[in-house]
Amino acid sequence: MDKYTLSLRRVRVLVRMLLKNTPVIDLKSPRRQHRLASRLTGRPGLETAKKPNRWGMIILYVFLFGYLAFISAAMGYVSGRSLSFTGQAELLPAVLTTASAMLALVFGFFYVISVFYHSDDLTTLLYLPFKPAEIMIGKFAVTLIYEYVMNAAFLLPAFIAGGIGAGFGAHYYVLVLLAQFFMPVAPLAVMTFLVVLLMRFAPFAKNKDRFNTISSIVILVLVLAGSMFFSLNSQNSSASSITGGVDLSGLAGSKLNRALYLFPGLPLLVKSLAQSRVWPAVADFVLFVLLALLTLAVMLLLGQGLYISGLTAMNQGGHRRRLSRSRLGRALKPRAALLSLMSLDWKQTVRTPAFLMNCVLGTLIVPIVFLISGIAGLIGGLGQDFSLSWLAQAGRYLGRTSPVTSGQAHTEAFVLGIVVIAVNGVLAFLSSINGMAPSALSREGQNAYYMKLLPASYNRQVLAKWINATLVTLLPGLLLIVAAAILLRLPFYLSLYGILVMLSWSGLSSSAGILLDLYRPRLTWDNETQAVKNNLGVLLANLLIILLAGIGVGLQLLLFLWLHLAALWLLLAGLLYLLLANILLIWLLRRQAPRLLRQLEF
Amino acid sequence: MIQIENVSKSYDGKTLAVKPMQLEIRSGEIFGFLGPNGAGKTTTLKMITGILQPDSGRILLDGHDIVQDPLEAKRSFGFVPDDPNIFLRLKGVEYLRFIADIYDVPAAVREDRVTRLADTFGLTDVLGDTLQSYSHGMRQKMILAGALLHEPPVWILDEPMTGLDPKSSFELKQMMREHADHGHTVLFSTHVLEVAEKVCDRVAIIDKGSILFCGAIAELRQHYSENSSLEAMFLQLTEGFEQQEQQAGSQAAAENLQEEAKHG
Repeated sequence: MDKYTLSLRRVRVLVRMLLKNTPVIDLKSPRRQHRLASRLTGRPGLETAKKPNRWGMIILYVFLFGYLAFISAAMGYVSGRSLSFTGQAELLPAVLTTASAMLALVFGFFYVISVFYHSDDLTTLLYLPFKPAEIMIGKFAVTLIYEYVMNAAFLLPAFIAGGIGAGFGAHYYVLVLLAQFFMPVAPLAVMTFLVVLLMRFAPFAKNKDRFNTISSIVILVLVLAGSMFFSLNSQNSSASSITGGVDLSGLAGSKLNRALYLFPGLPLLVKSLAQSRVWPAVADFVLFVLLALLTLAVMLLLGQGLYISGLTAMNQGGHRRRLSRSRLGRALKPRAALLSLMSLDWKQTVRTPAFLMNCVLGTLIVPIVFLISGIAGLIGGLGQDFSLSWLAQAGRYLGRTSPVTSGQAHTEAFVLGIVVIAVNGVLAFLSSINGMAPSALSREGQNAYYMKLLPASYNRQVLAKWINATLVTLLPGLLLIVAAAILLRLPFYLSLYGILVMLSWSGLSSSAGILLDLYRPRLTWDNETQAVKNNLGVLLANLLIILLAGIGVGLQLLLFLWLHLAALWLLLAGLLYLLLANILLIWLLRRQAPRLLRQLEF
Repeated sequence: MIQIENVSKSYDGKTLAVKPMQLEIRSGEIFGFLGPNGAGKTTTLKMITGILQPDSGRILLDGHDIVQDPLEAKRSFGFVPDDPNIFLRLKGVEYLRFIADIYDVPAAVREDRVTRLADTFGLTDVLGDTLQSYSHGMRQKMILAGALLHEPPVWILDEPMTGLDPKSSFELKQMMREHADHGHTVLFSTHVLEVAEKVCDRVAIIDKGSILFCGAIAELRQHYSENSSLEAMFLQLTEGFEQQEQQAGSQAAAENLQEEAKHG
């Protein structure tokens, strides 16, 4: 009989252990993390550099959570109001419940793979006296908690504010709060079963790094597509904009409901939340909860055997490929030490999914998206009468002063001055999004000790990281300048000015980022994400560049608006400022890097 | 040759991990560093290799001061740390190329050396795979191959036999012997007393940051019974030291109390 009974106590112990091992939000004190790392590695822990502030992390999380919740609540409220005006208030729970199911499906897929198949505890768990179903319940509970946290930020505020907007009764809020616990259960159980089934017969996610990289890119693309969809639809300021531009009236009772029928019980939840009478609403809700739990039970029953055999299949060794003599010869071709150091830093960064996402793709993609929406907004805002085509012959206005008097030439000299300053500001902003430099040392973690073993000077090792960071930061700006040069037919000297400014800001951003990371490296982390995500250095470096940009652009504005200098002088003044700032920071970096690295102890 | 002159190290400026130490490891010898966990072996090795900076004294590697002339000193040794989990996302061949580039291993000899080391340690079939896919022992062997690739005169190995299979362990011991016989230096730390007994020309037994004994194992036997095993001598030495420390501690405490009573 014991073979079939599950021990709730064991499950509780397991969930507690799993959550401690992979916290949903990591707020462990740095001191505790440091002690833990010392215990795990057996190293005495001589790290002398300052460690990040726990309260800083809490404030950051609260800020981010609050920001998301505010946006969600605002959208929910406006949707609720608009829908109640058109007599479609009952659509609000349908839309939000569908959104919850979709979130549980899309993110659940990645969470399930990560928690069920990629966590480090699996080898230990299989030895311990847990039944497969208990391990599955434990893992499912952890995944469910991830969903709860996401729903609490994205959907709960929309549910509540939407209810206020639509004027729902008190029982709606009670049921909404209770529903948060059961809403993701059925979709997540369905997704868990599908993943367990797939992994048993086609272990597609066997390579953890490759899977994480691909899934991170897919999530990024989904988020970007979503944000672009919303921003494109935000042009229409009607009520439908809030619901993503979708005319819900055409969908009522049809497509949404059909989507919901994919997940047992969810139509009952929608019915219950949209009910104005209390007892029928409660009855529907109870039925919804029962169906969700039944789905979970069926998933466990069918999935437990598949899960364990899938795990075994995944952990079987892979095929080794022997290098041919000629390939070995090519692979060992000598390179300059600096190139080799750059290659090491680059490979370690792009082959670590968390670093690739945060340090490389973030730096490359985020600025481009900002700019696309910014430029679209600018062009839309200026209207059709405005044209920058004269910039192709802007050379003649370069040397002209720009008092706002009269005449076409003066107006264009004025606009040219603004363009020179704007180019500086925009490119400074672009370079401030530099994920590589502020984590240059932190990415090494406890293995940074090898930097002290190599017969290469500290300055050379830092230079390799600096060049990589600068190149990655430079790329989006260069693409933008090339695009502008082609589309706006920018004259050569303006394009050259743009390239020099971007190069200077990228260098400055890398120097500032690396310097900050050397002063406060985050070398003790449990997983790579902490090195880049829980690293306040990234935020500080960002702020430092914005401050430096403020000074530079402010200086140009001062020369322009007070002294009425011509665009040529603004251009030269901007470049001179950047040159001096670069010289200062590179001098500081070359002086401080060897001292700070020497002081690091492991 | 490694010269350690009056070197000490404390953690957080309080706990003395290595008490002032004087030691010379000569060319042509295999020198074993023995001691219980936390004795100060790894801290000493880290100071020798430049990972930690000593509080006082100086360390010379083949005549180069590790603090004053770090680059030349670092070129003169190959180091194998106790934890081989580094560069895990590099392929074996990429790791060896990196080491060869950094240590300026000439193009003409690179391939031969890599092939020879890979054959010796049974790594030929895995050179194209990332270190992440290796077992602990294979990672250890790859780091070992990397440390020997530039043929440094001084080998510094922290627990090098841990995780090695018998064949690789045997090969490594042979290589250590040959290296020393060519007039070079091998310094390694170990917990395995049999290995030390078989391989080392001289050993130092270290506990609580102090060298309790330094010399050939035969000399150690002269102090103890001729027929004692190294294990028995090691335990006697370290436990005797612990008792002495405790006695010295209680004596000092008693003296303090007496002083306080006098003045009280």
